[in-house]
Amino acid sequence: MSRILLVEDNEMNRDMLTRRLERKGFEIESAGDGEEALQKIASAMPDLVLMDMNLPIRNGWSTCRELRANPDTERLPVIALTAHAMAEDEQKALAAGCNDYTTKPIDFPLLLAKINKLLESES
Amino acid sequence: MISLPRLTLRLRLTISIVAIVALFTLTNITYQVSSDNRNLRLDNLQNAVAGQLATVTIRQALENQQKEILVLDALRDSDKEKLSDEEVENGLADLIGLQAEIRQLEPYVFAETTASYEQLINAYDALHDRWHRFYLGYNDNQTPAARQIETEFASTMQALSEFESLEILAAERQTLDLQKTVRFTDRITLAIYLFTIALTVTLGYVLVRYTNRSLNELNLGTVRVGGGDLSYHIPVNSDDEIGDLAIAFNEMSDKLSNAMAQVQQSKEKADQANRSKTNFLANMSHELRTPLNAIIGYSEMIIEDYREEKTLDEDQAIDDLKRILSAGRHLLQLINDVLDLAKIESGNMTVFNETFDSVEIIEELLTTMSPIARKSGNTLVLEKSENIPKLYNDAIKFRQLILNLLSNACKFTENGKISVLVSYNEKTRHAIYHVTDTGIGMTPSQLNRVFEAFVQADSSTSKKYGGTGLGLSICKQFVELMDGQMDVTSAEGEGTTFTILLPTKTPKKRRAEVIPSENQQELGLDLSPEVEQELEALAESQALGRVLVIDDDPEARQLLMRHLEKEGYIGIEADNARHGIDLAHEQQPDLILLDLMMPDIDGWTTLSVLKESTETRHIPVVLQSMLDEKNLGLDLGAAEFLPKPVDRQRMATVLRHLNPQDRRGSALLIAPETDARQRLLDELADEAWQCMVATSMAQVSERIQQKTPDIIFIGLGMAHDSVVDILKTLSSESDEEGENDKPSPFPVTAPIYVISENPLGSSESRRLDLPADQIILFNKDSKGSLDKILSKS
Repeated sequence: MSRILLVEDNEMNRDMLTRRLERKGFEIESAGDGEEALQKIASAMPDLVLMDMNLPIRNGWSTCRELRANPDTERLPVIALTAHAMAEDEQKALAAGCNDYTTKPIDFPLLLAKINKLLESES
Repeated sequence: MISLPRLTLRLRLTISIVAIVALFTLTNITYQVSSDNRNLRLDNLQNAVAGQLATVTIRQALENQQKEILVLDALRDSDKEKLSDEEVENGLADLIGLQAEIRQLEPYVFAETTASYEQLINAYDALHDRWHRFYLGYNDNQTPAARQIETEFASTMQALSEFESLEILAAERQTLDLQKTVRFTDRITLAIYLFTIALTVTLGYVLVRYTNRSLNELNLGTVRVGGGDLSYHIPVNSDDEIGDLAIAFNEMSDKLSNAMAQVQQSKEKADQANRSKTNFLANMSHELRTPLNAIIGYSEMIIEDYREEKTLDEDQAIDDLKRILSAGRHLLQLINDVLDLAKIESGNMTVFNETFDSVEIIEELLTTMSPIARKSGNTLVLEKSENIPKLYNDAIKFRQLILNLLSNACKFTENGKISVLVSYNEKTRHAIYHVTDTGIGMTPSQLNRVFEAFVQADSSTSKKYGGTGLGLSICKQFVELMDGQMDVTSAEGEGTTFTILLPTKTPKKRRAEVIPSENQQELGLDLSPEVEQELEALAESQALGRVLVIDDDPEARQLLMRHLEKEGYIGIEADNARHGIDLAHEQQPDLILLDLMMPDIDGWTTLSVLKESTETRHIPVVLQSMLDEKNLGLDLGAAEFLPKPVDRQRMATVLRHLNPQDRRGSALLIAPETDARQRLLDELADEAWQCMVATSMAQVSERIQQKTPDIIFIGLGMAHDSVVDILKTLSSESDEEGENDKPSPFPVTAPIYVISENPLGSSESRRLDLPADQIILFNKDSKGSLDKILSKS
C-alpha cells in the first residue's frame, strides 16, 4: 500500500482528497503548510507527495526545491496541485522540481492516473 | 551703472560695417586733403619758377630800354636830332608795356618777397617817371640828366636782382614744403590703410570665431538632445540672437523632458495597473478554483459513495453537502465582490444619494451583529458625540461599509471589545466614524497592503477567518465614491482602527455614471484641472431632465447622448420616428431633440404627430437639421431649432431655456430675436424660469396651447402696433369658438408685462392701456428691474 503525503492548507480540500484517495486504497498523511510537510517527510518518507503550491509559511515551490536539494528526497515523486490558470504556474512548478502537476478543480481520475504512473515508474 | 544696449549679432555686424566704412571715408578724406595740399605747394613752386623767368625777361627789357635811352641821349647830344611824334608815342608805349610787365609779377609774389616787390615797383616808378619825362622833353631838350636816369636805373636793377634772388629762395622753400607734405600724407595714408586692414581682419576673425563657436554649441546641443540626452543644456554665453536661440532651445528641451517624464510616469502607472490587473486575474482564478474544487470534489465523492454502496451514511453525507453549500456560498460572495469591484473600476457603480441618519444605521447594525459578536466573546460599544448631522449620501453603501468593518472586527477579535465612535468636525463639516477592535492587529507591512484586492494577512488567515480578501478593497472604493476618505491604523496583537470621513456639506448631486474612474483607477492618472472643473461644474448642475433623442444616425445620436450626459441630463434614445413617438408617450420626457432627416417618417411628420397628440403636445421639441429650417419649424410648433452638427454650448443654452425641471414657472417671451431678448432669456433662465419664445401671434397661441405660461413678456424691438394688437388678443374672449377643434386659450390669466429698452412716450403708454407697473424698462442700466416682478410671481 503506497503512502501519500497530501500538503494542502484548505481544510475542505484536504478532507475531500484524503477521503477519496483513502477509498482508492492509499494511505494518506497530511500537512497544512510547507514546513510541516518537510518535517513529516523527514520523520517518515512517503512514496509520493501531492502538494498545493499556495501554502502558508513555506510555499509549494520553495518546499519542492528544498526536497530536490536534499539527497534523501531528491527522487521523491511530487505532484503539484495548482489553483492557478496561468500556464506559467505549471512551468514554475515543473521548474521547482515537481514531477507533474494537476489544476484545481481536480479531475480525480486524471490525478489517479498520474499518481499510479509515477508510483509505477518508481518501483 | 550704465545699462549697455543688448549687443546683438545684428548690432555687432552693423558696428563692424560702420567702422569699416568710417575708416574708408577717413582714408579718402586724408587722401583728398593731402592731394589738395600737394597741388597748392606745386602751384606755388610753379609760380616761383615763373616769377624767376619773368624777372629775367623784365631785366632784359629794362636793359634794352636803358640802352635805347642812352643811345637817344647820345644822338641828341651829337646830332641834335629830333624825335618824331610817332617815336615819342612808341617810346611812351614801351614804357607803359614795361610797367605792365612789372605789375604782372604780382601773382608770383610770396610773403617773403612782398617787401622787395614793393621796393621794385617804387624804384621802377621813379625810373619810369624819369624815362617818361625824357621822352616828353627830348625835343625841347629838357630831359632829366642822364646821370640821374642812370642812378634810378641802377636802383631799379638792384631791386630787381634782390626780388629775383628772394624769389629763388622762396621757390626752394616751396620745394622743401612740398616734399615734407608728400612724406607726411603718404605716412598718414599708409597708417590708416594698415589700421583698416587690421581692424577688418580682427572684426572678421572675432565674428566668425564667436558665431562659429555659438553655432557649434547649438549644433552640439541639438545632436545631444536629439540623441536623447534631454538633460543637456546649451551654455548661454551671450545676450544676442544666438543666446536667445540657445535659451529657447533649452526651454524646448526642458518642456520635452517634462513631457517625456510625464509620459514615462503614465507608462509606469499604466504598466503598474496592468500588472495589478494580471495579478488580480491570477488571484481571482485561484480564489474561484479553491471553492470549486471542494464543490466538485465532494459532489463526485457523494456520487461515488452512493454508486458503490447504494446507500449513504446520513451524517457524513449531510456534512459533505454542508461543505458544498458553504463553498458555494463563498463562491457567490466572491463573485459578488468581484462584480462590485469591476463595477467600481469601470465607473458603473452608481451612487444613489438620499438623506439619512448614519447613527441610526449604525445602531441597527450593532443589533444585527450582536449575536455574532457574543459568539466570539466580543462586546459591541457605540460612542457618539451630540448633533451628528444627517448625511446626504448613499445609505445602502454606508450600511454595507459599516457592516463590513464590523464583521471584519468580529472575525479578527476574540473576547475583546469592538467600538464604534462617531464624531463631527464642524470646521471641515465631516462626519468621522472610527471602528476599533482589540483583535490580532496587523504588522506594518500587512497594514500597507490592507486595501489591496485579495490580500489578507496571509492565506492561513483566510483559512482561519474566511472572507474573500476583497471586502476592504471594496470598502475603500465605496468611501471614495461617496466623496469620503478611509484610513487605518493598527498594532500587531493590540487591535485595529478603521477611520472613515464622510462629508456632511450641502449635497452635490452627482451621478456615478459620469465619474471617469476608468482612467482614474486603472491608470492612476491625475485628472487635469480642466476635467476636474468640468466634473465640478457637472456635479453642481442639478438641472437634471430627461431628454428624448430621435435620430436615425447612430453616431449623431451617441454624440448627443454624450453631450446630454455631460450637461447633466438623462438621455433616452430612439432610432426612428415611430419608436420616438412611442417613447414620447410612454416616458413623457421633459424635452425632445428631433432630427428632421429620417427615413420612413421624417421629422416634420413626427413633429406634427407629437403636436397633435394631447399627451405630447406640451413637450417642447427642438428640431435639428443641416439646413436652416428655423422659421418653418417654429411655425409648426417646434420650441427651438439647432443647426447640425450640434454645438454643445448652444445645445446647453437651449436646454437650459426649455428644460422645465425645478423651474419656478414658465415664462412666455413675445419678441423678435435680438441681443436684448437673449439677455432677458438668460436672466430668466438664471432665475430658474422655463422660457418659451414666440415672434408672431400664430406662435403665441401655439405656445400657450402647449403650456400655460405663468408670466408673459411682450416687446423689446417689436413694433408698437403689434404690441398693442397682441395685448388685445391676449385679453380678448375668442369669438371664433367652434371653428377650431382646439379650445381657445384666450383670454390668458397670466400677468402680462410690456418690456421696452427705451422709456415710452405718454401717448404710447396710453395706447397700451396697462397699469404703469406693468411697463418695464429693460436695458443695460436697468439691472434688477425684473427682480421684483419675478419674485412676486
